[in-house]
Amino acid sequence: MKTREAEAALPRAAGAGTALLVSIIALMTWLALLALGASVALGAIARERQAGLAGRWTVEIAAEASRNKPSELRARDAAQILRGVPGIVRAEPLGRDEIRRLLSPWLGNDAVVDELPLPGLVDVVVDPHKPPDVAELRKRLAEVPGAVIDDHRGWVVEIVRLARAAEAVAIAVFVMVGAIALLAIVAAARARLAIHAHEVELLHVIGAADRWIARQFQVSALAVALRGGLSGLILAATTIGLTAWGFQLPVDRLLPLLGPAWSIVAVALAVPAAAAFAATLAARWASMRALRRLP
Amino acid sequence: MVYDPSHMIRFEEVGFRYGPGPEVLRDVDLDLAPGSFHWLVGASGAGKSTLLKLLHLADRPTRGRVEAFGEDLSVLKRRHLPKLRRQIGMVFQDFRLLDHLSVFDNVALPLRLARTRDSSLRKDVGEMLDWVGLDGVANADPRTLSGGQQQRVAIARAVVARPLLLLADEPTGSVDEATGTRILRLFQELHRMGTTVLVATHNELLIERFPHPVLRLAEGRLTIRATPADAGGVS
Repeated sequence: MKTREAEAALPRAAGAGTALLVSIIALMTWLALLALGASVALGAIARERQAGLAGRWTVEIAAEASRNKPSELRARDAAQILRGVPGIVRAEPLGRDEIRRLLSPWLGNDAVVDELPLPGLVDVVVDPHKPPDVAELRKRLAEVPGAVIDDHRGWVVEIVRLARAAEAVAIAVFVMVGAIALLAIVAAARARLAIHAHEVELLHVIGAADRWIARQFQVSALAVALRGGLSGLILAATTIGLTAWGFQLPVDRLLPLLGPAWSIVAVALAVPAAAAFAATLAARWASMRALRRLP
Repeated sequence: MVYDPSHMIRFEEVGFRYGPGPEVLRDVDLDLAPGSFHWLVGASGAGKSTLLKLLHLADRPTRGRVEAFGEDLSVLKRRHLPKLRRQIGMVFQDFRLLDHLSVFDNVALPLRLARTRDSSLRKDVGEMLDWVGLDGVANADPRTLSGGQQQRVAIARAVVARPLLLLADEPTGSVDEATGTRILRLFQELHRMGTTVLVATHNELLIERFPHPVLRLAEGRLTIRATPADAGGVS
């Protein structure tokens, strides 16, 4: 005898309406996961850039600033001055080949580049906890013609600010998508209550408590949300995989920035789980609200 | 909550109206004694269905006092009503079976609401189906049964949890005479076992064949009142 089936005192959610709801939740989960992934990735990249550049400064020696001394020699002088300053861990002038390599994206690798006057560069590593005073360094470097110190703070701040803004937008998208999914579940629960008004009335009259009837809707919403959520997870994983492959993203370098592998999997699974939990609560809220109107 | 078996249902000057409409029940006084059997008669629109609705606690009166099993409904909290409703078995004219459930699961529903253990539930439902003569159709879809069989499933569902009060709204209205007689015999048997029974009907022949005190509703008023003394006993 089908005793287990009687746990579902209302007909199981099925048909075109349910398929539509599963699809909506799948798309919402997909969007939420992409937004969450984008938010976490942008945050991680911003932090990496910030940390990576926090201890690296550059001194640039303009090629045309002095006709008496080549920029390469003036870079050595600048490095010599910097080495004695407290807070500077290392100051190394870059060789001509290294500078050519850095400039090759703009100048190319033609032989004619050898004829061009190249600037001098000094790579400076500073103590991130006790960095030297930039104004003081500028004073000291004034004796080297064409020397300009760049602590990267200006553009790093801009990039980090941009990444944070994008992260905030991604979080807002995530929250909005969650809210829309909840509204869809509430609307579905209400529709189901209307469709099964006769069954609900019978259960009410033969002594079913509101919580018992509401549980019928909760179970149905949970099943729909789990189906939709897991489909959305698979879709999101496929989208991210195809994007990484299509744009040749360095996944092996980017993934560790997001955290340990287990935490990525946990967060990915948490989204459909949270969707299912929220759907259950939304269905309970909608059904209890309607049931309380009965005598 | 333990209910006082010496009190069944008592109405005192009960009135009921739907929304701002006229009163469909007026000054109804009624005292159903435990173990009694009553007929409820009245023309269409006299208020029978409304009275049954109040009797099975599906609604509250707009005025007057209703007491069920010793509990005053005007002060009883809504959350206590389901347990009180489970003391009442209701047989509807249109059966109201759940089509997506088997016959077995339809009958088992009140036991599940009362959180009866599965082993006990199987035994009780089996016995009940046997009692109404439907032991061979436990797994059937209710829609495949005849009207008489569906009504017997509805009766089995109404009494499987051993309610203190059984209400029936035109239980023979949709079945042939032989099936109607069979259904009434089941009610008689329940009455003999101590269940309080109230049956709404239009069928005067049934009342003649199964004589019990008659409650008559006309224009919302209960014109012939039953007292505990004249309604008791077994016919």
